[in-house]
Amino acid sequence: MAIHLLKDKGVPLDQQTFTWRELVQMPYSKLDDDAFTRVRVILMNGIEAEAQRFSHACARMNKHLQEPLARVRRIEQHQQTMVNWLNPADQSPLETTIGFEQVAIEVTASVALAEPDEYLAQVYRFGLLEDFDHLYRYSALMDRLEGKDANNIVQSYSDILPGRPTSLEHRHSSDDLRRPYDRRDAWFVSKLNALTIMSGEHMTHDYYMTVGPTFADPLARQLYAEIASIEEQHVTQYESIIDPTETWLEKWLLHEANEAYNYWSCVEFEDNARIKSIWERFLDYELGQLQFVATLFEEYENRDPAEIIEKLPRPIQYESHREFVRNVLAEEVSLSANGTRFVERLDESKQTIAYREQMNLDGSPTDTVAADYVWYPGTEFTQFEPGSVPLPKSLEREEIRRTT
Amino acid sequence: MKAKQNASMGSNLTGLAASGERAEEMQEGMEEFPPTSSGSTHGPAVVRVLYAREGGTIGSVPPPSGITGKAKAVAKKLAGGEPTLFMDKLGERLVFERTGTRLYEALVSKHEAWGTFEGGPSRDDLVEILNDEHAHFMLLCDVVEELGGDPTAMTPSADLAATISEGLLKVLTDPRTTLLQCLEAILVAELTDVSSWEVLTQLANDVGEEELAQQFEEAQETEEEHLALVRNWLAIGQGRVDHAAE
Repeated sequence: MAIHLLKDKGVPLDQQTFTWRELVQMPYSKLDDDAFTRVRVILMNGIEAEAQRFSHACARMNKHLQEPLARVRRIEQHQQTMVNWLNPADQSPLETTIGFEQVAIEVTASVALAEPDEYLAQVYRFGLLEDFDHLYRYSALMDRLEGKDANNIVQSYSDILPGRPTSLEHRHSSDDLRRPYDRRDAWFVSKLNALTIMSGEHMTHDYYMTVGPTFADPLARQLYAEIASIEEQHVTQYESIIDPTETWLEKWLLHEANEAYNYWSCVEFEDNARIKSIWERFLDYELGQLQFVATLFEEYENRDPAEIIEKLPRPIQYESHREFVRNVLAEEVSLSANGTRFVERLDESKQTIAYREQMNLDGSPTDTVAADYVWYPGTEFTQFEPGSVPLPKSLEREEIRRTT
Repeated sequence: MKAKQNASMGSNLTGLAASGERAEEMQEGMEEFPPTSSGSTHGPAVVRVLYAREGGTIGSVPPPSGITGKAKAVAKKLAGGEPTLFMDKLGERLVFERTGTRLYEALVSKHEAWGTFEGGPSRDDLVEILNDEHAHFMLLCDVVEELGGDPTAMTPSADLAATISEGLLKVLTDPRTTLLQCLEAILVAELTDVSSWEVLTQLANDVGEEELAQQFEEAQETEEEHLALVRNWLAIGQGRVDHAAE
């Protein structure tokens, strides 16, 4: 289905209505629906959360835009609700977490492959290997805490293997900033890519900060604390690649365009007919919102929206990127960052080394949870003889080896 | 380490009595400000029924991945009956025993942290049960495979069992709970174990799988022993029976 962002009028704002009953629909099935349906629901919740976050920030800085921002934001609040409430109640916070990491792997891989700017593509590959490791660490937690197999969630689309060890991902804040694209000559797809991944990572961070303390197990609480910190680093990284000199209205226009692009990508790949109809409806809503913001853009900036909004790139590819991810893993796992540059770990800054040593002083939960962990179909328990689970005589002498 | 296993008396603030005058003031407000929404008190039930009638499901049992001789025989005997129920319940028991092994691991940690109480379980007692749970899990992996099923799949009953037992894990892994408090959670797990093996034994008999039924019955007996042990430890720990009399 071809879409023209500025010509397709979509649904006018005054027809974008809901009821409470409508907002709460039957969720997808954790067991029967394709893993990518969950991936799309999780990502689109993040995209709408970013719409809310941006809109509030913009309203605080722009008195003249407060009324139109509030109008669109109310609709987006309800779009986010309808999307997020598609997650089923039998999907535990840890299972949803596995879903979040699958989003971070497969969507970031799709974006990295589609990114024409080599530096930005490197940024995505860099973050990808870190989230790839998070999937492995959380899978170890799921296996070792709950006796459950994370592959019930990822459905063999994504590998459960170690990536860049999380305990080595901790960097000084100044080493998480990247060079922004230049709004004047960046590709349109680069702007959409940056917004998409920043939104997804921000939601991931917020989710971990919300569910982390709902776990009773102290190692699980530590694990969420450690990985949430990396997600904060990722938000720092991804928001820094966006040109901060874009005007507020330019940014708003790009947000609406990105929301439309993302719903359209969902429509292109969704095989659950009921959920596809939600993506189609919201694509039309986003086109209507884009029209509305384009008018404001013309009015306040006296510029043509077509300067900003171009032809849509190909949709996000909701499919396994196993081969690409493995190649990146083989070639780039040893990378770190020093300032805005990607460097080998030997060239890390002193601040990063000091910061990491401080944070890991009492050990790293991600190392503890996955010590010698290998994912096997049906959990690591399948590897032991029946009734022969190896347990230490006492934990007093147990030492956790640290990744160096 | 000999720590107190039952809760102590302290500054619990949850009840009305702990709030004194605040509680009285709060109740005065109830008279001054009556409800603003009128109608039936059955609202939650009405909404639940409305949604339930939409016909959503938790999910399905996966089709057999390989047709073995035994699978064919079972399928034939189940014809006209509920062909997926047996697989669903096997899948449920499989994941529950696997999670059960992790529950006992957490209980062993608890034992290490809090120590036991007089007449309570020894570490070896707990490790032995842990290994029984693991052996049951492995038995079920073999059985599901023999019947042409996929032991790595999560069946709907397995999913529901995991949802039901979420609280058990929370109690067992909370660093603030004692060994004795955790035995309450284990009691729930063991009660479910006994009842569920009974169901599997019956289902195996229904399809004429006598050998399987016998294996399941043995597992049920083992779980009954676990249940008796847990009940006894709880009774001793709570002072309901005299340890010396045991």
